[in-house]
Amino acid sequence: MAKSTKRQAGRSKTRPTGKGLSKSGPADCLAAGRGRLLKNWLANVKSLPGARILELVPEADVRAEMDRLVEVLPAAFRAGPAEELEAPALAELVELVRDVSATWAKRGLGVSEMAHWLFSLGAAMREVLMEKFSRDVPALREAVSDAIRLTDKLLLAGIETFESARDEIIAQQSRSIMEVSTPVIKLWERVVMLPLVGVIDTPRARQVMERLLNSIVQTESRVAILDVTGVPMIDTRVAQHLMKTVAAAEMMGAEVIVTGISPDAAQALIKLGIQADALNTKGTLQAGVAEAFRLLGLKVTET
Amino acid sequence: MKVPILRLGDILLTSIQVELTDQETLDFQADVLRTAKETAAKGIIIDITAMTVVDSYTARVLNETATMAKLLGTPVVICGIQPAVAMALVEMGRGFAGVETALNLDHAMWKLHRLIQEEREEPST
Repeated sequence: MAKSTKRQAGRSKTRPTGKGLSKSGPADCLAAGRGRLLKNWLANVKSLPGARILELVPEADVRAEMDRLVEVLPAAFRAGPAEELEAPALAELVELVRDVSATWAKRGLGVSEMAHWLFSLGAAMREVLMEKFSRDVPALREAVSDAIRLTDKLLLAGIETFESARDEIIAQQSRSIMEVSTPVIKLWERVVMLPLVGVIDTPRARQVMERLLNSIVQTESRVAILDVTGVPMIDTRVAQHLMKTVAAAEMMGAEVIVTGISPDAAQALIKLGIQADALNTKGTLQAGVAEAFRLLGLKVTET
Repeated sequence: MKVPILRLGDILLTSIQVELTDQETLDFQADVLRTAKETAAKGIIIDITAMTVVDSYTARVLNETATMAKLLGTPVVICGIQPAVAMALVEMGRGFAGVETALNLDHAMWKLHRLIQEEREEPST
């Protein structure tokens, strides 16, 4: 009893001297308990159900990153978790989290794994703090709430970076798809063919149009076959792009034959009210080629 | 600048090489129609290979010219429309609708001969 009153008295003495002291308490404790913090954190990360972090990233790398993070953590904690994300006191820590986040996004980890990783840090921090301040509930509460605030901030930074890294990957992929996607095949003298494969969006439709028209000029083709067998879905937008491409090619004086429209696509086109009868369509590529020969006055004969 | 109109056998050959002002475009139209009448040409080829930009007005006037010449019994083929021009006109929702078009002069000659033949056969059938 006497002991506890003494403790209380001691605390009431230190309290008014400033908040700084009560803050340096948990930060120092985190610095002192670095080894424990790291161990707990790693254990938390490992115990996550279905966590693929250690599958996709070498454990040594994860460890090294966590080690560095734990090293700069106390300083950030001391400066104050209430600081803004851009504050210089947090800069080093936030930078570390952003680095890790960007790397993981590129390695194919999910945003939830990154979140789990930071939540695990929060949990580990709480464990260490609880051990230290188990007898001083108000200080513990403050320290833990600081820890949560800091983790939240890091999570925000992590998600931001993750998102932009992902966007970058997606943009890069769509660029590479564009590059491989539209071959122009010279099928015969004065006949070109464009097999369309994959989803057609506005930029791709433009590219298809440009490729087709330029190839018509280059090869002096009178007939162009547009094969849409590989286009999974034809909606209003795709249909309009298709019609525009055909109109432009016909304006230049070439004939366009569209082949390989699937039954589903045919239904969709008619239900959408597209004026598809303006198109010269054939069911199969074979019929399309035969039509091209007919238009050029060529005949295929058996010898 | 006046666009030269050349007679080649019984067809007229004209090639627009520079960008025309609105007035010049109209003058060209009148010129083509008058020459067609005077020379009793069987067909006209208008080559626009050199035109990298065709605005909607020019396209309309050329379109009209073709329809007008048809009224005079002279079919018209427009040739050498550049890909970029075709794309722009399609985007604008205009174009050479109802006008025969061809890839190049060679193709235009071929198409025109076919048209002239059709024209010749029509009255008898």
